[in-house]
Amino acid sequence: MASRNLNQAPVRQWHRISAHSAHHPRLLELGFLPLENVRVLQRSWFKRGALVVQVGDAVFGLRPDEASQIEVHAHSEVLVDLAAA
Amino acid sequence: MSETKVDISGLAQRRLALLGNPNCGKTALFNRLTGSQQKVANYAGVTVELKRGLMKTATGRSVTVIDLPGTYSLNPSSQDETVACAMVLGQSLREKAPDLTAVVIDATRLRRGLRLVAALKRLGVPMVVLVNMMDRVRSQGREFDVARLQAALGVPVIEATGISTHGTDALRQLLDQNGLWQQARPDIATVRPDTGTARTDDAQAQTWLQASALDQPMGDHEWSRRLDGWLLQPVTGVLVLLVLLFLIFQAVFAWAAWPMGLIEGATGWVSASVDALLPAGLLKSLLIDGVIAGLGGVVIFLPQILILFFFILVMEESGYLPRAALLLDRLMGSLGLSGRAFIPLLSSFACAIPGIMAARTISDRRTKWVTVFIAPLMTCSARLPVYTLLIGAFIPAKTVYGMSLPGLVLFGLYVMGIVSAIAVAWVLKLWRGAGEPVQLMMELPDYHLPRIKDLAIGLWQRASIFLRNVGGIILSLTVILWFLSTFPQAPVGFTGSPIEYSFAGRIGQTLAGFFAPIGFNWQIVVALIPGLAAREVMVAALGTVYALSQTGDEVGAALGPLIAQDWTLATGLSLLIWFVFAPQCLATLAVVRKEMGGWAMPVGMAVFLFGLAYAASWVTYRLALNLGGF
Repeated sequence: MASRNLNQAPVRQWHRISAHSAHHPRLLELGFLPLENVRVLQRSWFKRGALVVQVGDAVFGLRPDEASQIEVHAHSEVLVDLAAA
Repeated sequence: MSETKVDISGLAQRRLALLGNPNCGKTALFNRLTGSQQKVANYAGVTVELKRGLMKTATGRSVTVIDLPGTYSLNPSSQDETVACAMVLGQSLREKAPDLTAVVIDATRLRRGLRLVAALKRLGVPMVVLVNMMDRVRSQGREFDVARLQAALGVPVIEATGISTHGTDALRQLLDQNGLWQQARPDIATVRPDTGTARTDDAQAQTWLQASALDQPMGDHEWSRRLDGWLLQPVTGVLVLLVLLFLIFQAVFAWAAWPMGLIEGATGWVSASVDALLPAGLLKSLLIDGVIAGLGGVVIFLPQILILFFFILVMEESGYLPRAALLLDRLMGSLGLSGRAFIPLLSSFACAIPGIMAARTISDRRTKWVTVFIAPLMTCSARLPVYTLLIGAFIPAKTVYGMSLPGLVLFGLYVMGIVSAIAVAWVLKLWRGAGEPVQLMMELPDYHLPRIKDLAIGLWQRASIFLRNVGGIILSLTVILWFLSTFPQAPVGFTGSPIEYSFAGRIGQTLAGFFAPIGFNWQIVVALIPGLAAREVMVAALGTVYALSQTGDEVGAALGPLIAQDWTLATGLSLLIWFVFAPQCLATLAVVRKEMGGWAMPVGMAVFLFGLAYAASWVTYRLALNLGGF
């Protein structure tokens, strides 16, 4: 199952935070918990501009370096993985 | 909070803390519970604000309610969160722990609210849970069984909406149960932050949600997302933000002019009345130039502060402020600042005082520090009378490439302020850059219409904080500067102007040698001293030094030709540049001390800006002398 970081995730596509994602503890406190649903809502036109990210019911602004710490799987991939199991 | 309102049953000593995630509607609920009986004070030793209020239970007993800063967990990562956690866990050395904690959770975002409940429950903190924003859940016709949630949690659960009395009434009844207040507090004074608890608390929250059949998404946040599609979009979002920033700038600058004119008029009228009533003498001089000028000098700031904070509160309450900060984040981020620094800096073009007060909205300590440090470099409106006088006297009214030269010079002075602020921020970033980069990780809450009552309470609090904390300082400074400019009084037959004989005059003449290398004559140095009360006072003070008989706006008109003849061009330019940088406003330094807590920052700032001003004026003076051959 291919994992990517949230900074690389395509806009609006739902992802799930991977169980062993090792991101900043503060992000955990904010609700970026393992297996939580997450998607990028908007991306800046600038490479270093902030992203708008939805996690569960809440929306956060994250810098690209903050988003890139979060390891995610696309939902479709999770389903394929479950089917295989 | 007045003493007479506290009843004798001792219940007012019962303290209820409101704790919750940011944006869960806690403060609206606090306003609802306490009405106008609130008091804002800084938490001991730091600049985090704690609001306290008095509420009545259903049987009319009083309870002190403390509105704690919002927090996501009990592992704090900002100063605000540290205060909230220390208070609720009873770890504060100076504040008694609350007897009961009401955890406010957003009904549309139960899971994260319940994570906080789980953390408190794990530590055994006595609590009740208030499920807020129930109207949003009900309006969608969703099932929400409060009794079942209460059974799962094992603590009292009340549903509430911050905008109606429903729920607050239920809380008032609940707080009459004596047993609630008599729960033993566990000894948690030594609990240390543990980041491993986020997962276990979340698992607990999910178990509760499943047990109470609430594990489906509760709210519809879709319309906020749709609005974000426009307001955070790179083109439309930036356009809306620019229009809004222009409106704020315009309002603080232009709309405030009318009430400020009224205040000036009123101050003038009171002065004239006192002038007519009292015989000439010291008392009259003290009243007019000390007390009335000082009070007028305090009140004059209120229109700008109120207008600016009106906009900030509307943006904050509606949920737009973090979005504006997000859009500006890249721009400010390159200077090591967060997007939140922009509005304080923009306001500082009107006056650094409301600007520095607006820096309260910045949670990151380093960003706040740099913002406050560079705010006085923005060209405030008090510099304009000085610039007008000096440009009028020294810059020929010529046209260069179709543009007026005086206008270009004025524009150049604004640009110089901005460029130097950028340079200072950049140097500070290099100097302090070794620390962690400023985090963004900022929540963008749902949009909602601000309530008039919450806005009114917020504005009232800002105004009273300013009058209480800063008003006294500005008034006393004005009286002290009056004293320095008046005593000792010149003897009969003294040929110079009376101010020459005063302490201010003597200090000025003593310092004249120090300022000679940058081209200032003793008259300028003497006038700079009363000018410390406010920059524009320098114009009137120069009029006094040159013993002009005119008053008010006429001083500038009469002074222009006089200084154009008396000073060299190099001196005029040097003084112009001095006013770009110099810490010529003691009121600003007083606000910095209040807002940042302690003298280190205002003293450091004054020394730095003074050095910068001296260096820049020296370069200007030397260049003008050598290049122009004046």
